[in-house]
Amino acid sequence: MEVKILSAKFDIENSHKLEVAKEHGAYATLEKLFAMEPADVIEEVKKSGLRGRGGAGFPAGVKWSFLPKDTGKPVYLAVNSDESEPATFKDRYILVRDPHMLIEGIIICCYAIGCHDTYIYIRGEYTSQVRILQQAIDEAYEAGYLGDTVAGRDFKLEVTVHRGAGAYVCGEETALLESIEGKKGQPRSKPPFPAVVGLYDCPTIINNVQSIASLPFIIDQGAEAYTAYGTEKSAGTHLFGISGHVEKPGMYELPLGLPVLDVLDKVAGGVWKGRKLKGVIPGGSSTPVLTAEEAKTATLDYESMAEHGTMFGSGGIVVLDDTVDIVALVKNLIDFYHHESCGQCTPCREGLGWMLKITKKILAGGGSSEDIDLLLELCDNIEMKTVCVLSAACTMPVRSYLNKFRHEFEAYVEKGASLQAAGIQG
Amino acid sequence: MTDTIKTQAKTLTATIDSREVLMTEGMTILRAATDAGIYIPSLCHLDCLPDYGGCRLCMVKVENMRGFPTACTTPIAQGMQISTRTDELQQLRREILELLLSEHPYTCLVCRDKKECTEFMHSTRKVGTITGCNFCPNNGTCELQHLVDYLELSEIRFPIVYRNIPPVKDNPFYELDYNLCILCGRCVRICNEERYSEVLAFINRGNAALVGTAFDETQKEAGCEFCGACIDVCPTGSLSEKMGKWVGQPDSSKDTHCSFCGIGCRMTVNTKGKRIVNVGPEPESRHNPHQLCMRGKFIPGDMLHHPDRVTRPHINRQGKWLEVSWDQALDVIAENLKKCSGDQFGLIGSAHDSIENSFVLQKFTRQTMRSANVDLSPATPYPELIRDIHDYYASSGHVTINDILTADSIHVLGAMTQWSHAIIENRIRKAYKAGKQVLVAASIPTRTVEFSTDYQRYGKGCEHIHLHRLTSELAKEKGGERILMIVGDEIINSDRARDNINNLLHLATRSNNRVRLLFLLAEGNRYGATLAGMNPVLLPGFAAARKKGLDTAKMLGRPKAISAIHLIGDLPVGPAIKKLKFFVQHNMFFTPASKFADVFLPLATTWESGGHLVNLEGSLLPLSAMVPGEDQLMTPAGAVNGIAMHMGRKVLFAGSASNPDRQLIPLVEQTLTRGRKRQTGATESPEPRSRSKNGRLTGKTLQKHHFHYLGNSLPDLVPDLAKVLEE
Repeated sequence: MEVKILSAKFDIENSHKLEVAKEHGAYATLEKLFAMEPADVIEEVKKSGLRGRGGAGFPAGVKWSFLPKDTGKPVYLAVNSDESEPATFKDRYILVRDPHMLIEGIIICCYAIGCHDTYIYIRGEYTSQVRILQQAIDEAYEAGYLGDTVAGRDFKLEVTVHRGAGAYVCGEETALLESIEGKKGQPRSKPPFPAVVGLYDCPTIINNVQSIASLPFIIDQGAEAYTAYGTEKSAGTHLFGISGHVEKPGMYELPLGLPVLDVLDKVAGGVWKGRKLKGVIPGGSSTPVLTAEEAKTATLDYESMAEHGTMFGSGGIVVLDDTVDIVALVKNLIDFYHHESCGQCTPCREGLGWMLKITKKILAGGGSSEDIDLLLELCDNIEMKTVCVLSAACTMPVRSYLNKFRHEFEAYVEKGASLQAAGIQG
Repeated sequence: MTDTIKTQAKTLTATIDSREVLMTEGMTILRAATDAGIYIPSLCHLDCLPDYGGCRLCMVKVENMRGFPTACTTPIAQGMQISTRTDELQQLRREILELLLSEHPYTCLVCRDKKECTEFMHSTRKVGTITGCNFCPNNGTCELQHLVDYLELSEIRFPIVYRNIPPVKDNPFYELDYNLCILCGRCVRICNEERYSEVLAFINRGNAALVGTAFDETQKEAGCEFCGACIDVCPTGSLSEKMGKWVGQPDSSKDTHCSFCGIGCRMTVNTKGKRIVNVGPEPESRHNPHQLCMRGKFIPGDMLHHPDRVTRPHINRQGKWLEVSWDQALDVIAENLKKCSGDQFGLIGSAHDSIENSFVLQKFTRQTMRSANVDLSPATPYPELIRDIHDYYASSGHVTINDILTADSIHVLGAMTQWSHAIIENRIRKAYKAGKQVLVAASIPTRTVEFSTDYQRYGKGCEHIHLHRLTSELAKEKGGERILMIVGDEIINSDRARDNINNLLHLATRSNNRVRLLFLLAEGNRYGATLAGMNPVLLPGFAAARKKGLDTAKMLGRPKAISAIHLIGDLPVGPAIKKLKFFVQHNMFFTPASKFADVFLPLATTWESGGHLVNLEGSLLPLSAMVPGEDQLMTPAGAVNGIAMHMGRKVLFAGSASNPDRQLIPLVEQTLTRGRKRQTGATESPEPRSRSKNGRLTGKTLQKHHFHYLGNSLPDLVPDLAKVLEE
């Protein structure tokens, strides 16, 4: 089932080095790229059906075409490498094992959108990753792939790595821009969207690492080669990070559209220790959970996930076996988002705090069934009522656990212990 | 203003709450609704600030738009159908307010006895000081209280959380109690994006987010300029003024103009009975159209209600003050002054005084006392300075502080505008942020340098050399760039002021108004007082006096130059003061000079009596009487009129001291529009070795020229002010 498009060079020794990468075809597309018109590049990417790999899945080519023309201002590209979503660990592979694929992608994107300054915003915790990335960028500058004349062409491109300081919210695109500008990472109100008013008030495109890294293949092999993988609306391949209660957790590149259970069984070795499946978190902690029953019909693509009331997300699949205490999981989940709220909007700042307090109370055995309802009500009051979607990233999954596993919360309310513990005792 | 209305903006129609509304493209929903008289609640929006969208209370429903967009950040579009007050929205707002209040003391807000308690105070002590409203300085004007009533919130489902943050009281003017803060961010935005002080910031994040300073510095360390704008906009009692904190809610507010510096900012003063509660927006309004500085915002109340204020006339009997009646005091003065008529007498007034008082004082000196020795303290380095400036304004048009925003490049010369003329500093910063050229030159780096495109430092006392170089360079330029020069202390107060000013005026005249000059006059009515005749060589209307008198420096220069002085306010003690035969001080406080005074009269300031002033832009501005003041206070005009009567001379005016002469205001108005054509010549290249004196920018000169009122040192009156001014 596994494919090797993005991960083609991942297993080669020293693949992060320019010399090795070039031996295996890095920067080979540039010849072809500079022979194309920028508009044709955008058209090709549109045809490939490449969707943003950050989680929202917005078509990349369409996003680029939102850039206003002839504003007299520079266009910026910000590459979002603030991979902070719990259970997501795909971009770090690209950064470490094939950074030149990312740089090549940046050149393609910048050529297409007429950008000469790129910022790679990398999360602060990625210390070894940033080192390797910076080495690769330095090598690319030296070899003339970056700088005043990219690959000997009359095209200037500067790439700057900007390290975050450890805030999940900076993965939100406008907070990311604020952070690059040196301000506190707080999202901006939209509209105006970054494509119109972005970094330093100039038109800005923000793309995920994996989206950008997919470009060399698309330009090299053509859009059709890319759409040969995946489904009609979810083209191409994706790096999936499978974690949790499976025998073989890890990062796998798969075409989109495979059945969830097939992937769990055949790629990840099935639920560990021969236990039963309780649920699957399909794409990072902010996506609503799938029950074992729902997982049977779901496939790993944007449409199927939407049909199942959840989201494709970032490819971070978490497998939950039947011993998982959902209430403890929810507490852990809220704790994370509460800690990461920036504090700008009332509902998120205050609301997540109360959700955490109430969940803790339930977990300690002091909750009532009104508390469960209050949690649900808080979810409604918070979701989509804030500047950014951080709060929704918390309330959407929490609501799914509350609705799908309410009996586990009630066990705490009634028996003061988890369903599992109560079951063993009773 | 975020909603910049372009001249040719399209007009759109939209429906708000089933009312068709016409509006301009680019407006936000909130702006459009407010203009149409539709109220949308909000805690973080203020017209004068960029929008933030943090409180989420202004969420509205727009047909065909997903979710609930915030009215403050969503631009209006053609044909939008907007609902602002559906049951669903009100419920949503109620829940947001509930969340906001879960971390703000709310016991009183949702108390069943709220109404009775407000009216009869019967349960004031039911709640602790930190959980209710009764002990909050903002009780009664709190925006949260309004919202609770508007949304009819009667229950909060979350237990109260007290954040237990120690209140900060380490500055002279205001207290910060972040336990009451709702993180609306207005203070942060006004500090950073309107005042550019860049002190306040959000610190921490999420639930732990707070307003604070970077690295937990104190306000002063972080560069606070104590303009108080943050207090004006705070919707809660989180930021409160120390002075008015326990006075209670104001019962009246009046508009007046500030007379501390030459700008003459418009200000609103809130009073209760005979007391100033604060200076700032009217109660109930957080809109802050008149931005002020530390002096205008905090000093009036501190100064007028100072415990050391002297409110009765006193006579000096062998070094002891004897309280007397006005009649007794005036008798003593009249008796003594009769012996000192003519050139033996001198009168020293203040540039903080009104035109009316100044006019009567000079009339008293010239007519009653038959002396020409009349001047202001501190005096200008040469007596005709203000007339020279006036002639320039009258022939080239007055320069206003908002011209700073329209000039192409701005030169700031030898000025410490951050403290001396904070609102001009604000305009300079605005111009800089708008991409204008700001060129600063001074002998020491000032904060203005942070907002400049170029900074040149010249040696102490070498401003004339720099000026010479600059004016010769600019004279050669033929470009169409409009230049505004802001002329500060080092130029105006230097002993070379006459050369300096001549040089600049010469450049301005020759440039055909391409170069314009704005002179930073220190006191509120320096221009007007001189115009009213408080000058040894100039009569009212800047007419040259036939008989020239001594200026302040000469009166005090050597002992026995004159034998009697009538002083308004205070001045530094020198040997001449000690040798006087007779010395009257008319002031608010006993000062070191009072030791040598024979009679001390209690002064009614313009804050208590009103009048007019002419600011540095040359605008005639009214001063209103803010508070009645104590019964025994008298204006300088009233006092000298009394003296004249007790001397048996002609009264100086009949009727009210606030309108001593029907001709005065018309004279001022006429003069302001009329000037002489001056012949100015460029000065010779100055001798580089000789340095100028007097005008240098130091903490000491700053205090001498700018932090005094009627000569009384403000740092002496306000505890800790000196610390704030330390650099």
